[in-house]
Amino acid sequence: MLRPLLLLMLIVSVAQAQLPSIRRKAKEAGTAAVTGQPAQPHRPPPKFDNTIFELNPQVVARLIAGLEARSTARGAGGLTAGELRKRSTAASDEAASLNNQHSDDRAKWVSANEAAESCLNDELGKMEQQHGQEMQQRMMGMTGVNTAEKQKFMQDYSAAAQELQQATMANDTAAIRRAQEKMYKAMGIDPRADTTKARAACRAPAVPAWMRRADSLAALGDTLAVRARDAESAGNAAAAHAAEMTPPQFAMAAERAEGFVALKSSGNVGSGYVFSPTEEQALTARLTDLKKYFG
Amino acid sequence: MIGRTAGSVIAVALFAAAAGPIEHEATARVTWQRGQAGVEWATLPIRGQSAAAAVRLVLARVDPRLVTFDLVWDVENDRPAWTVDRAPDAALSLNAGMFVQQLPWGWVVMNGRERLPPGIGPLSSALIGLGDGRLVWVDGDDVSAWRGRTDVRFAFQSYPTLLTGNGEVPVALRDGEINETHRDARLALGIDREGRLLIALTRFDVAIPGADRLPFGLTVPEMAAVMGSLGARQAMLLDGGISAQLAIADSAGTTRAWKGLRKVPLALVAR
Repeated sequence: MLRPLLLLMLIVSVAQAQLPSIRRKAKEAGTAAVTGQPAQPHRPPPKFDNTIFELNPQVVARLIAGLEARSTARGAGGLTAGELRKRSTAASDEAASLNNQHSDDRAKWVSANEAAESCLNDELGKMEQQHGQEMQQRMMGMTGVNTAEKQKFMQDYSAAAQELQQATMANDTAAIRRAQEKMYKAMGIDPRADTTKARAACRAPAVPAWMRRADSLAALGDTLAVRARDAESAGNAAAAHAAEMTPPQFAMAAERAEGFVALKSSGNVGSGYVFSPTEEQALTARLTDLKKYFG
Repeated sequence: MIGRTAGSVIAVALFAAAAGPIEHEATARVTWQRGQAGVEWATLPIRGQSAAAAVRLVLARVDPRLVTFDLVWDVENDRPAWTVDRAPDAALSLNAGMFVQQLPWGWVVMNGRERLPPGIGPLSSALIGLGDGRLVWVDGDDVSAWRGRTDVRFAFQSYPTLLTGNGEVPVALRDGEINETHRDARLALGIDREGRLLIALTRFDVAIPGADRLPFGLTVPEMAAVMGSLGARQAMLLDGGISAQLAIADSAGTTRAWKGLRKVPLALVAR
């Protein structure tokens, strides 16, 4: 187990500052003042490797091809990620609008529903207790005269109990549910009828139309967001392919280009620290195209 | 007057390239300053080689018992729209999670409702905010025990995991499964042994206007080391690079913002 402090000791060493010293900066400022030209700054140039490509004109052209492929890649239902996101946002916004219009109504409904749920639990508990007592009496009645009806009950009940035990041991929820239904049937219990009766007794509030619509729209918004995200992932893969790059290479190129567009808007593209002169030239030449995707 | 709390000593922070020779370990004192109730913050300049030549760490730690966290989903006109400027009243705010393109990667729960299902990846972690204000950290991508629970108020995932369990560096972070040498602006989130949320943001620290936003900083293993040194038990990276942004209100209520270059769709805001 490598503790972080140990890792720190392994990776950390004291290094000499690599930046221009204040004295050198002053000298450069002096040079600029005398010549009218900025001194050539001494700086670490951007380093390029197999993940970070220099964004020269050819690479920028491939990047733009990838960005275009990403923006037009189609996901579920033949829609682009952008179209799915817009639909998702529209559904979520409409749901939020409905909820805002009826915020007090929802609070009242939630309160009434909680009271009804509590009542429902009480009622179902009482019914369960009653069924238990009836079952106990029925079991007691099993002694004595043996009738065909009693025999059938015992057979059905035993079979269902055994099935339930096996399903429970197998942790098979579907089989557990089936076995429980058989046991209820053998015992003459109808859980659905019990629930309906209890709900009627507790006067559970009906879900108002606006709430049904709001919840449905919210769910639709979420579903579309998931599809949009899937389309984004697929779009990234398509983009890398179109740009003739690996996904990490494309992601890095796209992030650096997006950074360039943002820095350009703020009037400073990094003073040579982030982009090489070749990159600055290539990215500036295609700035209008890049803004379509990052503007 | 800005109040100061006792400083913590962390192993520092003069970083060389990961492959560089080991010369010696250094230490530096972090002097935590009080922000709004429950928030402390500090800055720590560090120097190393190459693109880590001059980096400033912006650090924060937050006591979840004293603040309320909200996860903010902010998309407008089909574009991510959140920046730290959108939370002027926050005690602390930062971008949350990792982003696919315009949507967040992984699990997102907002106000108790799951907006996006969990992502899969062994080097992912999740932060969960419960209805009672407690924070839960989940190592790995299995959040099944928390899905659908009514006490989960918000949740999000991110990657890569920097520290798991009790401050252990994941094996996958050491065996070359991730790029160990790439330097970038970083934003890390963690939780310490006292249950405080820890945040570390890197900023390129040279006297050039706008240079603080440039995407230079530390490697992933170095960020694991920083978080471990700060006392994090568990930690993960959030989207860094041009997305990374953090704002902290000081004790006088003045917001100090370290802005990003990109608007993001998801943010964590403490008030």
